[in-house]
Amino acid sequence: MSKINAITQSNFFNKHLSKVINDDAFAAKTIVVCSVAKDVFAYTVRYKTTMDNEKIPEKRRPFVAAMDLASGVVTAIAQIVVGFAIASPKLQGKLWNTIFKDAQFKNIGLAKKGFATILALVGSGVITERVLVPLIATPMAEKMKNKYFTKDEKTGKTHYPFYEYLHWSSKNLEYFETKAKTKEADLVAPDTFDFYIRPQRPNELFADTHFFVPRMKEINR
Amino acid sequence: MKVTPIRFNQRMANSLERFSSQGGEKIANYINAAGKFAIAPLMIMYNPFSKESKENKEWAAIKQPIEALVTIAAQLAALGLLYKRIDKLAAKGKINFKLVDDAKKGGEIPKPILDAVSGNRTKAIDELYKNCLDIFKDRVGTVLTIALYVPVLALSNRIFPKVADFLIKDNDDEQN
Repeated sequence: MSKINAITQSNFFNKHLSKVINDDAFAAKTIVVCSVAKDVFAYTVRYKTTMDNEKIPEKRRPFVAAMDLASGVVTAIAQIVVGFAIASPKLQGKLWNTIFKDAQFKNIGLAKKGFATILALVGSGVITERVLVPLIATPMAEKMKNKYFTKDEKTGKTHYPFYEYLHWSSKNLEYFETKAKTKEADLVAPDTFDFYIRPQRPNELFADTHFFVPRMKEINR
Repeated sequence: MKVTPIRFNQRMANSLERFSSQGGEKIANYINAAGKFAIAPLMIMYNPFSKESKENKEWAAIKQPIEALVTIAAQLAALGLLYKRIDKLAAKGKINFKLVDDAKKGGEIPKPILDAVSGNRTKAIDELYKNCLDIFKDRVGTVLTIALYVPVLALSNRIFPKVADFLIKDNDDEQN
């Protein structure tokens, strides 16, 4: 069986197909969930690329990034609530009867499904995401910028929340490893040494063999 | 020209049918891009609750339509290619759904499908396959759309500062 047929023949996918075909509200809700999943992913990527984008002036970047982060959080919650409410069969039926009372359709099933999907998406994706979310997210972004986007006085660079979690490079893995040791290192490691001998506690004398912490100069800075 | 309520109503119905036949994923992308292009920048710029500087808001607002255009262009191109490929595989009989196989063996056909073809079982099986294939395309399309966000957003992030820099005369010396 090909890889595609492994999916298309699976019980899980066929149950999903059956539910989407039989239930217009479920079809619309699925599209809303897919849309929210895309948004959450997109806002995470957007936030990361904005904070890394040196072409955006340093003085503008924290607000643009804070806006992406705040929008991502608010949009996920608000879209699900509004999209699901609009997709409800009761509301769909009332609106359908009002708008398309005497209209003729070639395939009424497809049109009804499309109507439910469009309405749920307009409600969640346009009214909620584009009108309600910016209204809430803009002031939220301002507060977040002032509270969490702190500027390092020495380097003049801004610290972005979740920076380390969105940059899984070896350098940042080192950051996590050394974060716990930094307090100790600050006490004993001179700036001029490339590495230093980790201070040993009596009960650790033979247990710990990691004597060298590389690039302490960088860490101390 | 005077538009009677029934004609307007029918025109809406025709547009709805045309739009619905595009499939859920494409509809979602169109609506998302339209909202982002037309409404999002206005909301950022004229938000009564925001006290952010005009220049900061302009920068954040200009990002929206540029991102919408780049995103929808890339999504439509990629989804077009993906759907063509899926249709080719389907035409060769390489995509089979359990639901359709069961229906061919005399199993149950969903009521909305039977209603759409006035109870004709042969037509209903074809219609069921078409429906299943469309839903399959939507789900694969969603995965592709998510995967596309990385290059698309990187591209729009490269373009938008240039456009914003060109459009906004930045006289603000504020450093934070």
